[in-house]
Amino acid sequence: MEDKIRHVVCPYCGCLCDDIMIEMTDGKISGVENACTLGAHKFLDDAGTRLKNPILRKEGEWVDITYEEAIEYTVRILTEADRPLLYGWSGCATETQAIGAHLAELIGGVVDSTTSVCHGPSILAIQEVGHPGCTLGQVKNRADTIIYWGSNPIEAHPRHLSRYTNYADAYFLHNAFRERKVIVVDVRKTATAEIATEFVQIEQGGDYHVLSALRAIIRGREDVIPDLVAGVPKTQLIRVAEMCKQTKFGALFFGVGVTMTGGKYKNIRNAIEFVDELNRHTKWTISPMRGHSNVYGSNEVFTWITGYPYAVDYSRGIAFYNPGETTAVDILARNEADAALIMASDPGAHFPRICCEHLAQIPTILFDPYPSATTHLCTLQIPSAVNGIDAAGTAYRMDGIPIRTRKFLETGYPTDTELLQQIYDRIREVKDHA
Amino acid sequence: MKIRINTGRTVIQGSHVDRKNSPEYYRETSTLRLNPVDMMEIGIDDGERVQATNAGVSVVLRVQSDETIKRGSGFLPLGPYANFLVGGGTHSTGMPDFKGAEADIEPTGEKIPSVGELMKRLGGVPYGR
Repeated sequence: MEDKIRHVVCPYCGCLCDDIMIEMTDGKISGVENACTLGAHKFLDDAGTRLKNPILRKEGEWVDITYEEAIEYTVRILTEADRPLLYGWSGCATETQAIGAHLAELIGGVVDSTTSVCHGPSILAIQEVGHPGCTLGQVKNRADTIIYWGSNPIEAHPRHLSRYTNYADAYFLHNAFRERKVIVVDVRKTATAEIATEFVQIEQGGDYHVLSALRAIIRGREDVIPDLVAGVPKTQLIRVAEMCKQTKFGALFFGVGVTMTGGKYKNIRNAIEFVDELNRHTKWTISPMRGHSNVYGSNEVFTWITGYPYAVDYSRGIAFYNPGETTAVDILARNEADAALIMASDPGAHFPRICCEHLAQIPTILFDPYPSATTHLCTLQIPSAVNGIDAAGTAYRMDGIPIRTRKFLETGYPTDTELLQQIYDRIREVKDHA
Repeated sequence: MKIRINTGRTVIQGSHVDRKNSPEYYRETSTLRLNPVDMMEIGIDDGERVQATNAGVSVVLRVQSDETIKRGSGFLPLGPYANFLVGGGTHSTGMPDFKGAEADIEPTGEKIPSVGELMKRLGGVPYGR
């Protein structure tokens, strides 16, 4: 029997595309419409690839265990730990993230999301100089110039261009596709650079210099600019600055190409101040290209509950925030954590080697439906339902818009919200009777 | 030869991110794209392997020529192979230097480890069913 389910929300990246159509045949996903390649793989490759039950590493072997045994193990480890790290959260619904923040307070742990290794530096910059941002709807309907800086949406956010920028219709532009200009700034000629009106190729680590040069030109001080700035000719910088000033509504999107290179948050601060400079002449906004489907949600939820967006340390009994000290990579690199709860993320694949070595040494509990790189490092893996496939919850799009994901498949897997609530309640019970 | 390794998402890496133990993910994330002139200089062809070493730690990678890569640099899709060479320092920001790992590369006949084998080298126990 065939069935078509409309308005499914894709749980892959921060675009949270909400126009996906799923075709079901005999209760299985048989087709996906409107999704990009990344999203289509998320839905189509799901069947048959999940763990069937929790697995525990015991004396160098993997054994199948029940959910009840997995909860008992998790409760014991997290109750006994002195410096537990609760990391990940960006693939979880906000409902699960809220339990995570409360759990950190209950056990005196550190709660950090994947933010710290993607746009953590962007948040640090925003805390210094503010965020002149807007929703993607504003960009779609008004922006006539787009900058992608250190970001390659064709491969990382494939529908960003068609839903919100270059290929999208605009209410306030007569012929959006012809009127819009796209400027790409990157260290390599990416697929996105191929479709750019203007491609600015900079030397690795040259973001700060190029942003400073553009700011000087917009201030009318092109006389102080040398002929070449981080590999970019002065003539091109003057041309780009002029394009930006002639814009009616501009939108700068930046990726982890800017947050991960030398300078880190200072690069983003300079980018925000570049946009500030442009706003003396016309209207410009700036926004990070958030990666995970609900990484933005983790920052919102942790801020409501703890006062801080990520890297929150409860070891003192109160919320303490000091990125560089209370961030997951630093805590693991210092061999500080004595237990880890990894929620729907994969530090085995995405953390430096030294951090993975430490995770392999301590009791590490991983919530992930699929075997990942962290599977080989953890002591227990618990598969739960996938948010947006067989679980529903709230996620925040990259521009801060909350969107409710849809559950359209019944699989029998418990959700991470249910499991974590049970773990929280039992630890609370243990603490109350201590 | 010393190169600076840049990382990032690719469509193939991103498409198989939930199946990190698949052959597609393994192949994509262990393939280092190099400038063809640099490849000629160290005497390797497309599909051959190099050993990349940083701070005394080595990992074997497959190479692929790519004219968009500048000389003296390389591009390795983000994943466990790229991060094997990344140090744990964050300059007090929480963010490691993911985009700038320097590595010495030289031709090798060694085998490229699977994701599970790579994690075993870090102290893990490969899970495979």
